[in-house]
Amino acid sequence: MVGPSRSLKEPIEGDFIAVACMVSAVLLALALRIPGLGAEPLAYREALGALAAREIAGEGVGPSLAGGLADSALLTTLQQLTFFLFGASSDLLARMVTALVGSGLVLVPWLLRSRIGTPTTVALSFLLATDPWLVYFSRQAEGSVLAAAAAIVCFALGARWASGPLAAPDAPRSVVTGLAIGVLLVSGRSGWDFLPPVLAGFALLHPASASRAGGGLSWRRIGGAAAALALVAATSGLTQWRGPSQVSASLGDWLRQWSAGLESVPLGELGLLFGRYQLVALGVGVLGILAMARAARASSPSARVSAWSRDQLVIWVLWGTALVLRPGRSLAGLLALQIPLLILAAHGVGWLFEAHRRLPRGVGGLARVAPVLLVAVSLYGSLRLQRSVWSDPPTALRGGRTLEDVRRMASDVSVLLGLPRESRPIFQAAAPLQADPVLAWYLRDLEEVQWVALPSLTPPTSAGLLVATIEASNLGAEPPSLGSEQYPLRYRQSELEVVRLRRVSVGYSDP
Amino acid sequence: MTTALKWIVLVEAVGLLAFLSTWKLLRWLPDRGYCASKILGSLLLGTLLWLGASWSLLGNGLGGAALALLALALCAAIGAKKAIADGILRSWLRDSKGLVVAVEVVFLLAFAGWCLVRSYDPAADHTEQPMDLMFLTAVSSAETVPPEDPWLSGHPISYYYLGYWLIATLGHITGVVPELAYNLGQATWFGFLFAACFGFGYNLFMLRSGRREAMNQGVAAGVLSGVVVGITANLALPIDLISRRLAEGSSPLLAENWWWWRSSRVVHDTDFTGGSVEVITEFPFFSYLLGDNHPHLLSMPVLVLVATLALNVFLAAARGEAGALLPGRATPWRRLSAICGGTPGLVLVVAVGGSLAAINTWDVPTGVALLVAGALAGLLLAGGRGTRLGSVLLTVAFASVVLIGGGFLFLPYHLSASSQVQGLVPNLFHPTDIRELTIMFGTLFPGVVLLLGSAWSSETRARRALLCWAGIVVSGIVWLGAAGWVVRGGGGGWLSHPDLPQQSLGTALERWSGGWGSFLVVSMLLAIALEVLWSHLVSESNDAERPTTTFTVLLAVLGLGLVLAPELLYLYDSFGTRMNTVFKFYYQAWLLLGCVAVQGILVAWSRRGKARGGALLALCALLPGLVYPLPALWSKTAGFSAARPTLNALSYLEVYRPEEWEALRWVKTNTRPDSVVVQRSGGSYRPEHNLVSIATGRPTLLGWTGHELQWRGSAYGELAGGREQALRDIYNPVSSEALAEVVRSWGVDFVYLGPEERSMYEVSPAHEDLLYRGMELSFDNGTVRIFRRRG
Repeated sequence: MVGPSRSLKEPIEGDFIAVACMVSAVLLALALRIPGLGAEPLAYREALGALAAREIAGEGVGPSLAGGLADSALLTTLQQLTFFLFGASSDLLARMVTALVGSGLVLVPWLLRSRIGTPTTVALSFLLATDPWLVYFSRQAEGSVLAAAAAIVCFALGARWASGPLAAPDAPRSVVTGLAIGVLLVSGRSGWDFLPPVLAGFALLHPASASRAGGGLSWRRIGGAAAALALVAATSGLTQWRGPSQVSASLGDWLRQWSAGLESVPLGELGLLFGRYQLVALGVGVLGILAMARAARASSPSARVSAWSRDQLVIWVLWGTALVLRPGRSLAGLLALQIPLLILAAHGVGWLFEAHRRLPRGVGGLARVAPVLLVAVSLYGSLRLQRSVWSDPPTALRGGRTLEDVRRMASDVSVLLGLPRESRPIFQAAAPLQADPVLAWYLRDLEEVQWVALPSLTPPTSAGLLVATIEASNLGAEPPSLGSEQYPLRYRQSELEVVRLRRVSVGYSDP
Repeated sequence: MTTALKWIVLVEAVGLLAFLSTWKLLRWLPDRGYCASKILGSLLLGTLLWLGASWSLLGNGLGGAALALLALALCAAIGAKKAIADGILRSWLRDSKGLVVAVEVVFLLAFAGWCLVRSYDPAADHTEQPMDLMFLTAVSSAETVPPEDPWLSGHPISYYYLGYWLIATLGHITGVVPELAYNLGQATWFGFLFAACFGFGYNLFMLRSGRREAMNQGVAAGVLSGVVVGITANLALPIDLISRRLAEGSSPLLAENWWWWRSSRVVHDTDFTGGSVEVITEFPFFSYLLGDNHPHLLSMPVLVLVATLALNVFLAAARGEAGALLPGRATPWRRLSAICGGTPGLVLVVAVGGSLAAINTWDVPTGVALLVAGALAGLLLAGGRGTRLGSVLLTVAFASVVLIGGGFLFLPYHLSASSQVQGLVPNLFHPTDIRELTIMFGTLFPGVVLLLGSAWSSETRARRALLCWAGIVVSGIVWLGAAGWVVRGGGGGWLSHPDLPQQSLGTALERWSGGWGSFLVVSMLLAIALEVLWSHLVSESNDAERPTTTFTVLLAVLGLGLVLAPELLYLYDSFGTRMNTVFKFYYQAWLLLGCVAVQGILVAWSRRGKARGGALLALCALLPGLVYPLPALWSKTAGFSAARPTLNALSYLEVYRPEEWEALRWVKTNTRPDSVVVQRSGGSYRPEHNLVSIATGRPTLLGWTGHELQWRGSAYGELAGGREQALRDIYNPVSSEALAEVVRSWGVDFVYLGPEERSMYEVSPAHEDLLYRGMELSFDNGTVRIFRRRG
């Protein structure tokens, strides 16, 4: 790491500018994450988790869902608490947890201030606040950002541990480390994107610590493990899943991504998305590695932590590259490459900032504003990415996300069901096998919904309203209907799925 | 090909991890447990996943299996850390290069060879193969432990299912579907059996030889052990061929359909009307040829693994660190664990021994006897390190730990398993014909006799052997007489007899008067073996061969005891005959006596002179047993004539029942693993009756009724009560409301309506119309319709 601007033991107090910068970073992060948070409808996986959380929070029992369990037990737990506290559920509340975690993440670099120096700390905070992909995933109700946050906390703890005088962290830090690893374990599939490099980082620390402390089991380590287990157990209990086996279930899903290409994003498309928004960070990140390598060779007190950080981040970058190249690559996998690059980029600009006095006047001036330039580029990329979510045609970014029309459908259905009882239709939501989570989420407050299999809609006894998603069915025959209304639901592969509402006024004959 | 490659790479990797994990624990064995580590790896991996899933710590799937693998890797890292750091492991590998190459060649050849055989005969469509595949698919897709019984929805499997679980675990990691894993698993287990027998034979030989230079001969001993146990057959075929040749006008045996089956039914009991009572006399090669992945097949290599652990225990007890076993110089726990080379070794023994109950409960007595007898013999052989009483007490403690620990470790299995055994029956009416016994064990007995002869020493006393024989004979007669007297009055508790109320004890005397040959001959061999064993245990001699000979004779004692046992008693199960007792005991005896026979031949060969002549004769006795395999393979695979060899056990459905195959794929994709998918109730051995549960593992109300009766015993009536009627109510509904009610009350999720259901329940258009009204049609391809419960 870049050498600290002051001695390690020097107290850091009253640095008003640094504090002001951190507060600004948090506010910027919130500004990028909260506005319009509930504007886009929940996607398939988001709806799955939100429905589970709503059900557990006691807001009603939903239909059985085809997609099975939600991905992240931790997110479901936190969503459940949110719904419980607010006494209601909505798209905005479903995404609130990840938006707040994504914003709070900005503060983590403060833990490292004494090790990496104020300029790097501030640069890293701003980068975390404005990074396009972090902002994007903070605005989704998925476990990715929770995992990313836990990984960054683990990095910070590791860096403190590497620079500390003790072999192993003290008991409270062990517990925090355990909790961070616990968060990775219960973040769903994304947690496994980060766990191997995080564990490798701790393993890099181990030989030195073992020689200092004699290795073996200690109460500190047991405390850390107990904290991780407690978190796993608590989320398992609160989400009423099948105990800690959720961890192995998410590992199984994650491992399948290495070979299965069902949700795979084409490599070219992923490369394009990465290049469009992250190329500058990548370039500055290379500078960061060079800066770290240089600092590791120096005889300063921070050389040890610099060496550890360099090794850890190189491992992390290589791992992230492997994730991006795997056959079942996903958009969320980008984050595993993204986070170490951000840390490296922050070090790169931090180093430039520190070195500006030693550089020629013109270059030195440019170096001084380098952090600002990088953050500006990041902010611009972030705004561009969020806008493209709304405007671009179906791509890796857009594919699978729910289209706005689903709300119109829900609203139309609500109006129809609000009619006087005598003219109120029977409402049946048809699905090929089991309820679609997106439909189930947007129709969650309508008690009259009957979920039925697609080819056997019940003959209505009065005027009826039927809802069907268009999906592959082995049955060609469809019940006769009078009139229909179509609502685009989402793109899946190359097909557009559409919800159709059919008004039926007479019964149909049995097949 | 890629699938098989992926599979075997995993098996090899897991075996290597097990080897490293137990490197230190199995240090008394010349091969350090390398050969047995093949089966040990898969056993530990599957057991870790099973334990994790039982306590809801791991999910039964890829993730859970990966975490179990990670745990095994951690054990390997811990177990071999020091050996790797000190270079001991590298030096062992350098010295044992020949052994490692040989066992890998043997294992991979056996695997590849059996894959080839199965690819020409892959279909799980006959005998009990559909049932085995059903269990495999059920445990593969189970979300909870114990897995639900696909043929009795709502109840856990009441069968020894851990063997299927082990195969399923390998399938989880490699992503191999159960219908492929069925055949790949069988080929793997064939390889495991060969590798384990190879290792056992190698270890015994090398211990006796005591020379590292004799490795090549040790390898030959290992190969011979694998061949004798795994490939050699009984004498039924050669004798049939000869008798047909002698009898003029009889048809050629090998032209008959399923002629190879006859070798598995060489013992013939008769009932009181003169009719034949089926008695199974399978041997390992027959089981593989038949292709049923039954518990007895899956437990074979595990039993050899237990024998290997018993050898390690024996050696640890006999050669343990001086003083470690002395009372007063070590804590009781240290003395106990020292028998297994330390606490981790004891845990390993408990885990492997305990697993036998969940793989094949029939093997538990033999497995525990091997371990306990090994420990006792080792302690007695150590002599000066403790008194005989102390040795016995320590062995009792060891046995208690193995039994209680094993029971506790596999508690989730024991809590859900129900036994079909109803009691113990004195064998009053079915003594085995000596000719039939000779046909069964004629290939192995000469080698066993040779071993006993070679082990007969100056301290062995013929008079004591004679007394022992008399004791066994008198005990047998007293047992039969007393037990017969007790059960004559109706019996009680565990002692009973299904036939006695109608038959007099006079009939028993009459039958025994013409059939005492087997009892007398086997008891005589047993008496000799016991005397030889005793003389070795109490001997003061420092002969280097003594420990190995003692252990080999111990194996002979157990093997002969297993042959003798069905002469005197059998377990009373739903068949009411000694079919299963003879089957399972002879099977275990084959494994033990096969290994003993090979050692007998090798010992005699090393003695030169007349003994070498005896070895040649015993070797010649094995040759008729090798007549069977090749023609049997040719016949079973129809001359290796399949146009498209495959390892898919369900490929026949694609060809012969394409519409049903399409429906089955739909069920697999679109229903949850615990969805109850109703089909017709099934007749035993008829796969077409219950294709859904066989191919997908989804539970139905009632599957093969005869088999459920076997597994559930007396509880069957209560558990299955009303299900036949419910099925009729579903397929022949009187109204849509009544249909909805019966579907709801039995927790049915889907109703499968295929040709078998239409035929059995005579489903009319009116019935189908009611199914449409009462349920939701979810699938229809013209031949099969699948309805879903509303709501």
